[in-house]
Amino acid sequence: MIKNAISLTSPIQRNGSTLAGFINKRIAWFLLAPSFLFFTVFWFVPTVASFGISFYYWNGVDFAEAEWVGLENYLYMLEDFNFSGVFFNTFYVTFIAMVILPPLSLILAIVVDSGIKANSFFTAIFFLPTVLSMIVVGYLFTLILSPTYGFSDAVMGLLGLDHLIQYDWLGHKSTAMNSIIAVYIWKSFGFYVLLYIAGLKNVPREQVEAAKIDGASTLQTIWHVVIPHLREITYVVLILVFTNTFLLFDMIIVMTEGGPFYATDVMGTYMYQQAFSGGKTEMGYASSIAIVMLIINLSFVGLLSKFRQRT
Amino acid sequence: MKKVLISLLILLHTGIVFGETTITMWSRWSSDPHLSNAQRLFEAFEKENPGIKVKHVSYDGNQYLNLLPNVLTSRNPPDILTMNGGGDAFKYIEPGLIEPVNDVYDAIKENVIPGLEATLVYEGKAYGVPFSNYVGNIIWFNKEMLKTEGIDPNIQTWDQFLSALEHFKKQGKAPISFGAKEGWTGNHWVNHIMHRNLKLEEYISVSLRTLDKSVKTKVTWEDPRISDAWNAYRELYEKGYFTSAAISEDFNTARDAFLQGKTPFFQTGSWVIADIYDRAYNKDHFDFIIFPKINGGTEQNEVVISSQVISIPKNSSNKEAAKKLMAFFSSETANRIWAEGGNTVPYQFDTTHWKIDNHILQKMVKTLSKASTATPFLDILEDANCNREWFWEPSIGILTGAISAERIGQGHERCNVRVISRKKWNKTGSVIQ
Repeated sequence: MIKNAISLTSPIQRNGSTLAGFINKRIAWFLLAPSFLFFTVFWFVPTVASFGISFYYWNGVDFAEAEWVGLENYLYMLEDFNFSGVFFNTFYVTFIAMVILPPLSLILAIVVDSGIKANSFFTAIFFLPTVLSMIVVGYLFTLILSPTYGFSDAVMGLLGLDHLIQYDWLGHKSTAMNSIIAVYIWKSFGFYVLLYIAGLKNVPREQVEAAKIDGASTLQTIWHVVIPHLREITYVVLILVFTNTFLLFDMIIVMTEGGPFYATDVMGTYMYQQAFSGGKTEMGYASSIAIVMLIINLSFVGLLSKFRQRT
Repeated sequence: MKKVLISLLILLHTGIVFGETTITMWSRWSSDPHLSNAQRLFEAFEKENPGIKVKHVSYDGNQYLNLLPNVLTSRNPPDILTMNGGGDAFKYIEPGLIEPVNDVYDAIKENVIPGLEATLVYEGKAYGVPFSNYVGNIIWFNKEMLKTEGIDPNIQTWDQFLSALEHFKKQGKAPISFGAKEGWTGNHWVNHIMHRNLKLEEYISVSLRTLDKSVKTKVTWEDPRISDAWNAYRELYEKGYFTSAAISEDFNTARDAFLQGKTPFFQTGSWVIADIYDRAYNKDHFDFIIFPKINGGTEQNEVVISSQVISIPKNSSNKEAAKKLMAFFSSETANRIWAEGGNTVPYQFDTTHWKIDNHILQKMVKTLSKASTATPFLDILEDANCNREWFWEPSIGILTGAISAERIGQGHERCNVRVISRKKWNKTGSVIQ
């Protein structure tokens, strides 16, 4: 019966859907065209071009003069003593951010969402650094941490840490990177708190109430009821934290320019320096670093997607 | 009739009727005082050359540098332009994008301060004329602070300099304002010490061999005198002669500390003269000496400079008119206008009658006109990739203890050999002795 009904109605529907589908498809392509064009011109073409350039030695002037070197630029990464440090720094920053940012944001989101007084005020306070640009925050903290201007000295004095007065936080390789990470986390966490607050709004209240009636503690409720509902938002947070941190650039350039002596250089800043900074014009080498960064980034997103599908 | 009149008006406007030529000049003189000085220059040139008009197109520094590769490889480049001399210019000269101008250069070269040819002569041919420059190896000092401590400001030797530094340090004051963050400031310190440690031809050849295959060198970057230069620089830091945040602070912070009277000494080039007038607590408290002599190398009247060159692109459509403008840039008229507008110039003219209001600039122009040699910075003379990696960056690394002078020398030499072998110059057998 059902089969017959379908067969009776389907020719009309098919005709109707063909026409409507045709129009819809055209509209969809029309609406997608600007983004597609933008993506092609500003992402796809430069990426393909960078991939091509990465096999050349080129000083950025006349590509006709560029020399084909095959995989030499990629192999040079293994020889480049500075690059190994830069590679380590990149993963160090990313690892620390991945370990700190998602749990910190989740905890603060739960606290804010728990019905405490002035929760809007705290949300605004957490979110405020996010609306400032990396450049502004970087510059601000360069001044705060500077022994010359002495803002950090005042704080150290108040805390009784007199031995840290006049300490050059960004000038020592032991503290420069951790100072940048601290500033980066301060600047970024508010955004992820906001994402988690949005996620918490979708947790069914009746399930939380039911857990409480059944005698579950707050921690048990969070662990067994709330967090499972935040799986999708956590997936988004992990991808954003990884990609944003892995591509960290502007804050480092403003605060230390990658120094002292590569101590805070990450792959993004090192790539920029190879191509454009201080008269350097290693376009091929810089392009090969960009391609490696792209591969690592895509691999992580791919791995996380696989993991998400399994769970 | 109407069409004829309109055509005539257009022809009159474009100057074709009177055989007038318009040449386009590109420069980085995009803001005052450079922009208005350039306008004065072009007016003077057009007065001397009634058949030629100059259309001046200027861009900001970084924008200009980014545009150069595209415009020089295009079919319609400007007729004449300014570039940084040395490596920046050679990367366009090497693929044949710049016109050789030996005829113009030979006629004016006797006025050029000796040593400057390294910025524009490539494989024996001249590709421009120098114009406008900055003197680099200068030690600035606060006259009042030295006077208070009874220190003679006429410092001539490195030992005299060190003893003045030690004197201030004993008073509990960091003697030298320094910010190494950007790399170039530390690079300049080592540059100037090395310039004093080596003989001039050694200083030029050890670096220029990476840009010009006709240059031969007898020294390498592993030379002990170069290691000594690195170690002398490191000692300034280790002995506490630099301000406490020297590694993390930038040039501007260090400069302002000096101009506010917090430290008695500061090392930078003549580009700081305008800042002394604009930002110092009292401009009359500041003076300079040329970098002190260190036994064995160049003398105190030998200066390190950066210089722009005026060049003509290969595809220029008005080469003869452009050459006239190029020759004008080398004239006393043009250089006097430029100096009176607040700049130093790379030619040795009698400056006695030049009207320069700024007393520090006046002394600088006079000093330069009497310099026995003017040699470019090493970052102008060497392949930029090697220089950045093994001169700029280590100028911070050696202070943090991350790298030693010997390791810098080895890496630097290896980088130079790699650059030269990549260019396949070894086949000629003419580069490394």
